[in-house]
Amino acid sequence: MNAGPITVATILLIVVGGAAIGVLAGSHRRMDLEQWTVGGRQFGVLLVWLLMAGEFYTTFTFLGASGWAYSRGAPVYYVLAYQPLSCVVGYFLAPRIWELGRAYRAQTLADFFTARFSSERLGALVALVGIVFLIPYLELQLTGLGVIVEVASAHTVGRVPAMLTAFVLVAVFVYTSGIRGVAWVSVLKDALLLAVVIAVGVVIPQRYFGGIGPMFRTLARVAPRSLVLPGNTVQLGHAWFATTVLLTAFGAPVWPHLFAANLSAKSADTLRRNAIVMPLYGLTIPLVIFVGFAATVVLPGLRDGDLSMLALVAKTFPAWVLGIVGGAGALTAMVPSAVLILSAATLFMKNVVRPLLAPALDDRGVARGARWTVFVVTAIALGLAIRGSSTLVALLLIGYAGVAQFLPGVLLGAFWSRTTMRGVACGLVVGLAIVAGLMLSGRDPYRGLNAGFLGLCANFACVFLVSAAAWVPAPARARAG
Amino acid sequence: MRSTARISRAALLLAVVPFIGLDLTVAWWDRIRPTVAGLPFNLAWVIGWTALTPLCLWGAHRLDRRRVADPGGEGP
Repeated sequence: MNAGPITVATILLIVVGGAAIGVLAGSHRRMDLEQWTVGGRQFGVLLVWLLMAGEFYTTFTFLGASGWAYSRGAPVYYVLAYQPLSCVVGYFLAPRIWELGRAYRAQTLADFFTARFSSERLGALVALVGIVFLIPYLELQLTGLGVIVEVASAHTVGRVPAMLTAFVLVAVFVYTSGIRGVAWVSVLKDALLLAVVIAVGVVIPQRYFGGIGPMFRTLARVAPRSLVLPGNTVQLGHAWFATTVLLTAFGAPVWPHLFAANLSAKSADTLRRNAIVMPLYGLTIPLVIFVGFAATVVLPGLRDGDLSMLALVAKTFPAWVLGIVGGAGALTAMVPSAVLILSAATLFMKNVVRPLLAPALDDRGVARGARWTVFVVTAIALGLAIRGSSTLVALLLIGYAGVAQFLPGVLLGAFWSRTTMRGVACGLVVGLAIVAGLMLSGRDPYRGLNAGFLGLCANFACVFLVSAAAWVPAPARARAG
Repeated sequence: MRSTARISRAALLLAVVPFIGLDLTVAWWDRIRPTVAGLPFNLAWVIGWTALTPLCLWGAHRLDRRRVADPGGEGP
C-alpha cells in the first residue's frame, strides 16, 4: 500500500469529526448528573435507537464476526441468533426497568439494586463487579481500534499512537457531553458502518466468486465442515450454541451501560418500540460474516482471523475505501467505549466512593468526581491495552458470562416482590464463583454447556431459594407466637 | 408498585416463538441443504428469524396496546 497518507488522512478526518459531533452535542446544556448519565430521561425513539445501536454494535461486529466466520465457521451464527432474542427480552424487561428506575431516580445499574433492595452495600458490590467486567470490555474495544487503524494505515500508524489519539478524544467528549454525546456520535458511526458493511459484504463475494450463492457452493465443496456446527472447532456444538445464545440474549440487557441506556428514554413505550425495530439492524451482520467466509478461500492461513476482513478489504479496494473502513471501524470502537467509560466512572463515584468513603458528598460533587474519573478509567484501559492483549471474543465471552449474573437480581427484583437482598447477593456470588471457576480453569464449555449459563442457573436457584426461605417461616412464626 | 402495562399471556406466547425458532430447534435446522437463495439452510434460517422477530414483537405490542387501551388508555 503506497497510498498510506490518503488512508491515514481519511481515518483521522472521521475520528476527529466524530469527536467534534460528540463535544457539540452537549455544549449548550448544563451538565448535572441526571443530564450527563441519562440525558435527563428525555430521549425519544430515534435517540434511544442510536444509543442502543451504538452500544450494541461494537468492534466485535466488525472484526470479531468476520474473524469467527474465518477461523471457526458456523459457530459465528450465535451472534445472529442472540441479538433478536435479546431484543425480545428487552421488550418485556426494559419498560419495567424504566418504570422502576424513574421511581427510584436511578441513574445506574447499582442505583437500581441499592433502591430495590434497600442496601447500599449490595449496590456497591454490583458497581464493583460491573466495573471489573466493563474494563476488559473497554480494553477489547481499544485493542480493536488499535488493530483496525494499524492495519488500515498499512502500519504507517502504530497501535499505541492510534489508541492514545482516539481515546483522548473519547474522554473529552464523554467529559463534556455525557450520554447525549454518545448518541449523536452514533449518527456518524451508524451511517458509515452501514455504508461500509453493505459495500464490502456485497462487492467481495461478487468479485471473487461471482455472487453469494457461488461463494457458498465453493465453501460447501472445499470446507463443508465449517458450514455446520461445531464448524472448525470441537466443542462448539448444538448444546453450546443453545446455551450461549440464551446466556447472551438474557445477559445483554443487564450490562451496566445498556441498562443505563434504558433509563434515558422518555417513556416505557419508547423502549418497546425500540425493541421492535432493533433486530433489523442485525441484518447487516450476515454481510460481515460473508466477508469472513470469503477470506477463508481467498486468503487462507492468516495468523489472526480477526484481521481477515481488513486484509481482504485492503486486497480488494483502493486506499480511500480502506480509510473509510478504518475510520468507521475506529468509531465503532469509540462509541461503545465512550458509554463504557461513562458507566464505569458513574458507578465508581456514585455507587462505590460515595456510600463507602464519602457519604457527605452531594450530587454536584458526585457529578464533578465522575466526570474527572472518565480520564482515570480511560488511562487504566489504555495502560491495559498497551501492555497486553488477548483474543477479542474470548474476552467478550468472559464479560458476558460475568455480567449475566446480574440478571436474576434485575429480573426477579423487577417482577417478583418477594426477592430479598440476601438472595440476590448469594446468587451473584455463587454465579460469579461458578463462572470464574470454570472459565479460569479452561473448562468452558463445560460438558458442552456454556459456563456462564450454568452459573446463571445456579444463581437463579440461589436467589429463589434464599428469598423463599426468608419468606416462608414468617407465617409459621406468627402461628407459633 | 403497579406497572402501567402488565404483560399479557398472549404477548408472552408470541415472544416465545423466536426462542423456539432460534434456540431450541438448533439441532433440527443446522444443516447446509436445502439452500435458500444460495445461502446454506442454517444461515438462511437464522437470518429469516432476525426479520421475523420484529413481527412477533410488533404483534405482542398490538395485543398489549389493545389491552391497555380498553380500560381508559395509556398516558402519553
